[in-house]
Amino acid sequence: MSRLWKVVRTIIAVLAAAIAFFPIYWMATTSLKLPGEWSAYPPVWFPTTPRIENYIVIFSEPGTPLRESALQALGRGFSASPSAVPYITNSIIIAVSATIGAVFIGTLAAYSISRYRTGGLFTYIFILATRMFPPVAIAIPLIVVYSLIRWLDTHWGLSLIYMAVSVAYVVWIMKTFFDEIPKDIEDSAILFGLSHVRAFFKVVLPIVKNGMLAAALFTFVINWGEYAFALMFTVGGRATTIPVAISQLQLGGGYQYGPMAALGLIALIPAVVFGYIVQKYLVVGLTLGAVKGRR
Amino acid sequence: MTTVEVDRLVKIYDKFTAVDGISFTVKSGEFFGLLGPSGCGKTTTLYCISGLETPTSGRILFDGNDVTKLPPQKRNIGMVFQSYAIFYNMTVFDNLAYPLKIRRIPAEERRRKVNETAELLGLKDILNVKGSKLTPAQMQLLSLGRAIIYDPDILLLDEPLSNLDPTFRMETLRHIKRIQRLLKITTIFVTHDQLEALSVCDRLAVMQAGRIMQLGRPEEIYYKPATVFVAGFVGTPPMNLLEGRIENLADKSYITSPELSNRLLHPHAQSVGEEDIIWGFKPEDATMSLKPVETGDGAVIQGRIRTIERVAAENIYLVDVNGKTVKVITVEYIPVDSKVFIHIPLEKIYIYSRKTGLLLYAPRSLEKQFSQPFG
Repeated sequence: MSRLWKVVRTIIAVLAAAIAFFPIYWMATTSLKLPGEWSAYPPVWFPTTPRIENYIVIFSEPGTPLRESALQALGRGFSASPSAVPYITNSIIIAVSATIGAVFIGTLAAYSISRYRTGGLFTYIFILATRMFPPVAIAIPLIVVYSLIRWLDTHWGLSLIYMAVSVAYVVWIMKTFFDEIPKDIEDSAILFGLSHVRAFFKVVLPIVKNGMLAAALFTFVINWGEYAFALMFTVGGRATTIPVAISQLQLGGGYQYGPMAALGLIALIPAVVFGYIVQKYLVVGLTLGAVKGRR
Repeated sequence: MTTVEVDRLVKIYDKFTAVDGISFTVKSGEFFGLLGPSGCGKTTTLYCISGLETPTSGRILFDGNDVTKLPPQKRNIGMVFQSYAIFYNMTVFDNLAYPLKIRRIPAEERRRKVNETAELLGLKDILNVKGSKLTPAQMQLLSLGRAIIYDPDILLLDEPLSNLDPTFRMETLRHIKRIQRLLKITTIFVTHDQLEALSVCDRLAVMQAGRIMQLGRPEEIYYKPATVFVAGFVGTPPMNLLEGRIENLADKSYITSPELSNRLLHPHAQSVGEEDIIWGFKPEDATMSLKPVETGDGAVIQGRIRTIERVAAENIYLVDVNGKTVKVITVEYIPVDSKVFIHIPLEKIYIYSRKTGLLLYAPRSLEKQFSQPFG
């Protein structure tokens, strides 16, 4: 019986993994296909001859010979699509700055809420409640304000919105970490001779390091893939991020599935690399093992 | 060598008064105890002395200098916390060296000091063990080591034994006391365990509801509990307390009580000056028998044995007397449900005021019998 159960369990796990990974598999293979195979029926499961033209189109500047030959291979209507390099740069600047800002501000806020009940229960709930508005509801008044102060389509403009949105997650994650640390730890550090501020940075922060990494990964992934705000706040194209750029490839000359897939796969890389680096902290972090509870 | 003076200390949280205007002085090098049930304000008092809490009013003085406004990191205090607060990710060595590092002591001096302290506490063999791998007793010692390594003027102990197995408690306490004597460091020890407090403290204050009920040497607290509260708190088990009245009949004064079988002629009852009293006796001062024994002038009460609790070689009998529970300690065995007579010698009876709860009469000093079992 237990053997049968084992088999069933394995099948379920494989099935779940297959469902989760199918889009990525499809994206990876599509990025190596020429237009004829993008939406062929019956589907082409693996490109007959893998081609890198899609990547060349994404990364090369218009007018270069390499790009021209790639465009020729892809055929019809691709001359309009610009290089995607600026979008990647935009995404990195905006997502990284927003993540650093949100983790910094959110950690301080979480400490204050955890230790001093700053603002009472109301503040804590209220910060979480900010995540319950649909983005569109906040976007309209923000667009009005941003256009007045000329912040539309700027890096810091979008970065600030991301910070505001993701700070709630950071507070939420970090508060549970601070709750786990006995106040005695910092009290003892103070009696050893540290000021309260130094005790926080030298003693408390190192203990919640794992939590900060978990919170950083979480907010980075959210900011990196965010679409709705990016679409509304980067209309001019100067601060356009990858998700918006991908969607705009669709509008160019027909459906450019190949370059879209190539850019999508590139967009996956930072999140995967970051996730891989912090994974060993992440397991500990998300299970709240900051201070082992042997009291 | 520092004296600590607490002067009319008040601490109010929102509307809750944790400490209600207490004053006491701890002598230099003294081992001073703050004893009381949880919520009595003893820990708050300790935190105000450390500076980690700010008093609502009142002053804290070290050696006569007002330190009330001085931040905790400048008070040069060592403190052992209830949760130990050691760094689990650091080795014993690093834990001990940490306070010295903060105080910018050079590495060479640091190593010497760590070795010296480890030697003193018996942590020498585990200097390279991580904090998370220690036993609670080792954590306790490490926590003490960290608190004394930088030669603080005052040592504060906040329920340091509450997380230890009972078997280790007295041993650890003896160890702490030995080190305290060696260093001659002024120490304030907070505990809810009267046995611990009575065992090691030179003097102690018994607290209740933010006030000091009694302050004195352990033998004074034990043999002359100043109030009904203290009487009902110290001792294992504490004193039996029963309501009674003093009646004067033809020049003689008697104690009467629903529990008493006899009208008790008491030579000192008249001097008490109040009618409504609480009279009491310690469980170890009474004897118990199945038949009435002619004891002369002592008190006799009748009851039925409800339960027997065994503590080491002693039997604690819970006797139902007139609906109230009276505790008696004796080594002999009497079966449950037996009807018994409890005899209390006249010279072992305490009298308290029912109105104020204050001690009106205590048996003549028995303090000479008292010896500190763990001193």
